[in-house]
Amino acid sequence: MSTRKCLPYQIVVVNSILDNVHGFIGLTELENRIERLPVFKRLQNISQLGLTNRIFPCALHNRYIHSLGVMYIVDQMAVKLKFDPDERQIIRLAAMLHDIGHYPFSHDVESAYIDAKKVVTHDAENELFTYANNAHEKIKNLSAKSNELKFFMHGTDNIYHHESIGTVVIQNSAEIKKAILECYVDNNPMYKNVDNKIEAVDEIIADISAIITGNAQHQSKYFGENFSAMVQIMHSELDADRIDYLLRDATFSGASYGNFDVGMLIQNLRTGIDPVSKEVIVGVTKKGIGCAEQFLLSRYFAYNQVIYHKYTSVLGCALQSIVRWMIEDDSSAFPYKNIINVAERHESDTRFYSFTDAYLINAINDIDPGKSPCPQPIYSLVKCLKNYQALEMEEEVICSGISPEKVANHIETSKLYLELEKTLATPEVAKEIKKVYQYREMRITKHLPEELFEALLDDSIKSEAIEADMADSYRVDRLQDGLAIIGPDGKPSMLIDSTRSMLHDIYTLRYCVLRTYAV
Amino acid sequence: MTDVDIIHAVFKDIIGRATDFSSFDDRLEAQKIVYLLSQAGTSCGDYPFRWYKHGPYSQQLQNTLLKKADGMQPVVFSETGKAALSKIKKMKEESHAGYSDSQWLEALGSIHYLQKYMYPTYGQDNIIEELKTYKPLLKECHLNKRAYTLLKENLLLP
Repeated sequence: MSTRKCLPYQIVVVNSILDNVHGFIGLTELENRIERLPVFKRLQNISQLGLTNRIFPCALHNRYIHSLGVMYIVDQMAVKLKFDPDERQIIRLAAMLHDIGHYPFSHDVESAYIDAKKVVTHDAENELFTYANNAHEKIKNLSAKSNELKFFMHGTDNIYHHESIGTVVIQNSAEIKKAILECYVDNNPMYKNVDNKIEAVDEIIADISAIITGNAQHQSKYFGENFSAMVQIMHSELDADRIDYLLRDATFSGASYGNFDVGMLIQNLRTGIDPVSKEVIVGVTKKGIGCAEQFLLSRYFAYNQVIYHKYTSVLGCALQSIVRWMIEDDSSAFPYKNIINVAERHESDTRFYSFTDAYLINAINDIDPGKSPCPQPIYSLVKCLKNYQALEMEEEVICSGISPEKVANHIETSKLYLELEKTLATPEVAKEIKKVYQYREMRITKHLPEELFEALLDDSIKSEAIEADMADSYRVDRLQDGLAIIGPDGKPSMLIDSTRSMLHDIYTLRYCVLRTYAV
Repeated sequence: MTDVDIIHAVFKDIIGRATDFSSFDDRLEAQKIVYLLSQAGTSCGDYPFRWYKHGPYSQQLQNTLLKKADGMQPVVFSETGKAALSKIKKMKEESHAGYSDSQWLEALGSIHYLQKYMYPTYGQDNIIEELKTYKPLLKECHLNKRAYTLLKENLLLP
């Protein structure tokens, strides 16, 4: 895809790691050096699916092998899209490092940090009330959410999001920068005229950080032409991260829901150009429509059968509450409250390397109200985890369908939801809640068909929610994030708009579940 | 307490008065305040930002600003929240004759976003030059430099 005429850097494999999902994953000299760093090896001690292995016993895979798996997949995509070797090396590195900032037990602990750092206060004594209120708020907005405009390819994340933490780690890693300098920049014809090679490394770090966080607005100095495509294959509805975790979670959990024809999907990858903005859009050809649909459906089922399983879901919730209390509580000696500082100083103060699943489980096992105060609701959850128990589910109401109104109505008129509403309506009763309420929702896609999308844009302009000249930015954002089809003329359109795809009719498919658990 | 209530409370705490966000300037100020708070270590909700003509912009936040506040429950700030609010209030109250209050917040937010998310390898002078390219109205160089320094002093920039 590059129009530059200089000799390219070569992707040369010097070592391989055996993976039971993809087979041998080759590493270049640069990747081999980074693989050996303790900051990367740490990921071997972070489970991909949190506490899911307590329900699916073989789901023991970790962020380390997932990161290498994403690198493997992204490189296949990059080769298919005819990236040159320099672009391939950068995108491989971004994939390898995309989860380097991950928390122990992955997303549950991440949510704890994001919640703990909110601007409003939270009372751990009323944890069960908080669960009930959160569930109620999400259900109340069930039909409203889909009608709001938003950007998907945004520039920033919450600074406690694992991707933001990852960029802090990378930007403060002298070892990673040294590896990039010695193994990639030095002796690379692309940088031969660059006086300050250290600055070139900083530019590369900035590019990798932008790819990891999905910042398509970042101005890449060396990869301007193709940078948008590099971001999309790591950050969109069809990206290497999702491809690997679906296949990997299916393999290790034993549940087959995440399997799909990855070879066919990658074989049909193409880029196109949006005729209005001239932006590069990554998508699939018409021949790839079937496997793209299979991919979306696989993800839908993988979530509602494994991730949102009645016990994995509530275990994650319990962990999140406990860690949140550990962060917020003044008397708690938890050394990772200021995780951003710990990540920044990881090479001089190596506490970050110890921030793993094992550390956290030990810290939770050490919680003892006899030694220091702990709110009763929190200690109930601690006891569950210590005793390898999951909270007993009392009741659930599930609805899956393509009619948002019917699904919303089914949930909102259920005995469970009506009981929740009644409880919250009386503050004295609400504060005495003795069960955990949890609501989970999965949609097959977050995008709207073109007709509805354009109507939403029009309404938003008329109501002054957006300015008229933002409309094109929203159109490009939709194509960059969503699953696109690239026509023979290179013109992109959305899978959701194609009458050849079932998504045309089932784009509103969603799975909603409300559950209660005894504490 | 809804998301809208939180934004109203944050705005009132920083700016010193209530608003219904019908004014463009109030909405612009709210955008920059919430952005700067998110960078100062606390979040007011799920509001990712990207660059738009008036600097860092969140459509999700804009959607919230256009809703009516519930006002049924009081908003109580956390210790993390209070610390971040204090920081942003102090920066906002820094003398900025030559810029309106909205422009000053726009300068603070835009300089930060340009440095952190668009041109992370640039130095102060280059960032200030980029700011003039993107926002010709923010042309008071000494104020832009002061904004940059304040962001560094308050640890929003490394």
